[in-house]
Amino acid sequence: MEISNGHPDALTMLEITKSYPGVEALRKVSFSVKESEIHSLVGENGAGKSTLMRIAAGEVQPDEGQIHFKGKKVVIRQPSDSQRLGVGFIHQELNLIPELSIVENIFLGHLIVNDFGILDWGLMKKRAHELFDQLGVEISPSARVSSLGMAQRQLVEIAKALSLEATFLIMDEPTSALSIEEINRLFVIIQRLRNAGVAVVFITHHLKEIFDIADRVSVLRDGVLVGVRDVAELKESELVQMMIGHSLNRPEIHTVQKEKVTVLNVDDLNANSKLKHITFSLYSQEILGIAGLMGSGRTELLRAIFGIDQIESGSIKMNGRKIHIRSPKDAIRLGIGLAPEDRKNQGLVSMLSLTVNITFPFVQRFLSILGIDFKEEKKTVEYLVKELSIKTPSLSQTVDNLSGGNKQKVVLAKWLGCHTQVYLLDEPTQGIDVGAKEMIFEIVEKLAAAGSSIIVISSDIEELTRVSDRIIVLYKGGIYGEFQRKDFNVENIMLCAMGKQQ
Amino acid sequence: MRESSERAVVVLFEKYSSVGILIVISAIAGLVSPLFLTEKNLLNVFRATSMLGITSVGMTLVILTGGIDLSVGSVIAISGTFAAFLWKSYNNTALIFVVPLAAGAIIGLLNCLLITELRLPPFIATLASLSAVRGIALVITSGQTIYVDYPESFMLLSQGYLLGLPIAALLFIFITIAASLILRFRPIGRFIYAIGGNEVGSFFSGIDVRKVKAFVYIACALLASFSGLILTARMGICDPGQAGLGFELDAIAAVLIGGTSINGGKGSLVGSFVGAMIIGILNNMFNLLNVAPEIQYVSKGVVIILAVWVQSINLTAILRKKGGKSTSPGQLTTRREVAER
Repeated sequence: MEISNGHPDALTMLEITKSYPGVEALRKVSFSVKESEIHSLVGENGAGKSTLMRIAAGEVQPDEGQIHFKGKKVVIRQPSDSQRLGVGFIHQELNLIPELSIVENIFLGHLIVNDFGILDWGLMKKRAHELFDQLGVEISPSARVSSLGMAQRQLVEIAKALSLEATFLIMDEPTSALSIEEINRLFVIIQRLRNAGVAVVFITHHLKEIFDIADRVSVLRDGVLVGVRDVAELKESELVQMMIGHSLNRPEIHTVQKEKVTVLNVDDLNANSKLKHITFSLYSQEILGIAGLMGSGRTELLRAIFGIDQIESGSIKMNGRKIHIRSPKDAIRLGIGLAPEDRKNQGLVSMLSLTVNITFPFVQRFLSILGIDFKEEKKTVEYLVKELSIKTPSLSQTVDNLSGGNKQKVVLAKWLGCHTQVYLLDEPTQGIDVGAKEMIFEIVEKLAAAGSSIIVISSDIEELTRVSDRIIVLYKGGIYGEFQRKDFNVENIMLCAMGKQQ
Repeated sequence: MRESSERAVVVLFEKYSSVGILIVISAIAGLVSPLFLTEKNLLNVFRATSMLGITSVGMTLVILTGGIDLSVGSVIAISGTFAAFLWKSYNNTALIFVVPLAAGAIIGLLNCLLITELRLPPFIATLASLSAVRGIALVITSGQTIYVDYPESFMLLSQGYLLGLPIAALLFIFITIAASLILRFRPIGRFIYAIGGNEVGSFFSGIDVRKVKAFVYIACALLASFSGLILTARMGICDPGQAGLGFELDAIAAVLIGGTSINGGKGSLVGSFVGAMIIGILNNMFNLLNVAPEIQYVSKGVVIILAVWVQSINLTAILRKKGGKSTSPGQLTTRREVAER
């Protein structure tokens, strides 16, 4: 099945085994990447992708197995060993110091001094310029990292790796915080690097990206290598099957004809000096998709409705009555719930238990004279956990230890528990693996069928067209287009989101 | 079976290592001074520690939310000052209970407003009130120490006994239990932990963060002013320049020795109770042995380091290394997530 691109292997990992107490993270995994290759490494959360790459980068030591680099057997004990071999590891959470300039960040670990032992910023800036030229981007090396967006920060990380003469680049979910345009630009750069001989390992959850850019793909499942395939010969359904171990039945999510009862009425809303003249209605049982680039005001719209950002002008009506929301507490009381994009920092209190997290907004309900009635609370949480099929060893499990999909379900359980009428979902499937994504969609469907209304934001327009009844497109803080389900067309919606008139 | 017993050991260690330290220090105290383990002395320690203990209860609540209250020492001073000043001027028993406590509550509210409305970091807000509040106390007495003859009912606070125990000690126990029950059984208890764990996440979950903060800062200052009453009753004087000086540091130390995280979200009042007792016993031991105050300070520093260090030991990892790779299913997911990160 495998077709060689004619290049020798840059990295070969042989029969790598790594156990953590109680779990085998990797079992005899062999993995190889050729020079001048973009190799995608995929698998659900917990499959062992990151562990494998951390072993390659020397952050984790394998229990067994060998690593060959450019044909020579090597022992990588620490990250500096792998850096010397030319491995650059770009973590999902970037390792930049925001308060320092770009050039300082790039050369932090290997500052260049002149003959007098004085830091040679001139030379370092020149080198940084050269690196950015090589990447084909224009960024001033003197700018502070804090002034950059996520996409540019990523480029700084790449430049940093290249400054260490990296010939082997590992990128852990580099696209998770980027907009479509930014992703496309990143892809051009990655391809340019490949053509210059660099081997790139590309970890992602997005199947489309694999087909867009990767030459080969390796699939891990539960710590075992399931297969290595040439992308050109692979079908999406095959890949999904490899990842989750069974074929995914993807019923076309069909929405029944719904009565048009207006639930939410947003009229000429201005907020956060970003949203301008937003007017739209949300109907009962409706799933309203919101498309738009990063920075188009998507998140701000949900924040304004949920009472996090103060409204400057305009009005919101719910069930025909004008409402004033000044805090999330007000919103929740009115039956509005928000599942924020940043689950870890905004959606949950990760160090506390699942039960406590779910009942925050309605724990008062379980109050008796003696205090919180833990039995009653447990009953309710048990019901919600079952209803949303949250997988957890116990109800007192710390949320931190749950998988991404289950964390999202905990957030949803919280709102389901307080009989929420309007769900605001900001990128509900981000960072969630394929199987869990489908479950989240199913839940959203169920919630709508049960009478709730849902506003959902997603950068993945294809996903949005599957789940929504109607899609509103935001552009630069205003509503730029609206699509009914029968007119859904991924390309048109995307163009609209980029500000092109239809 | 081995696994569950291993887990039990870990839980015991995590929860009660401060109790172990308390026992060790008591044993040492008993060995070096024959006077230590007498009933009279132990009751005395208990009574002397009650002020620190009561203050630490409030401090624990504040630290659990991820905050800090540096003003408690000054609140102790101003509370005693009001009591002494009012008794001298009006001879009214009700007044000397009510006014100092009300003053404490108001200071707590002001601290909270500085933090929630002006958005000052708790450290800065309460550092300012540490200075300002003691200044006001000094202004009230023109910097003089007030000598007072308190009424008998007020003196009960420091000298009274009930059921063979000092009333101050009983109050300490009672307040600790009451606050523990609030933490465990009332929604606000949960919200206190939640805010310390993740303030933004708590706000997004509909928790009224301001209200919870108001509760903890008012409770903290109120309990400190109550300690101030016990102190002035005990001394029969009020010296606004010296009363409660540096007390905030002892209270914070007691909370930390008790295992509460300085970052908030984790900890218990039982821990702080034990932490306060450890400091109390140390003080008592050194007094019995006539150790110079300088040495007392040094050893207190050492104990803080020891206690917090012992609690940071990851016993799970150590047991694993020795005993192989057994885990309970509960930890399995943990490890798996770690592996994925």
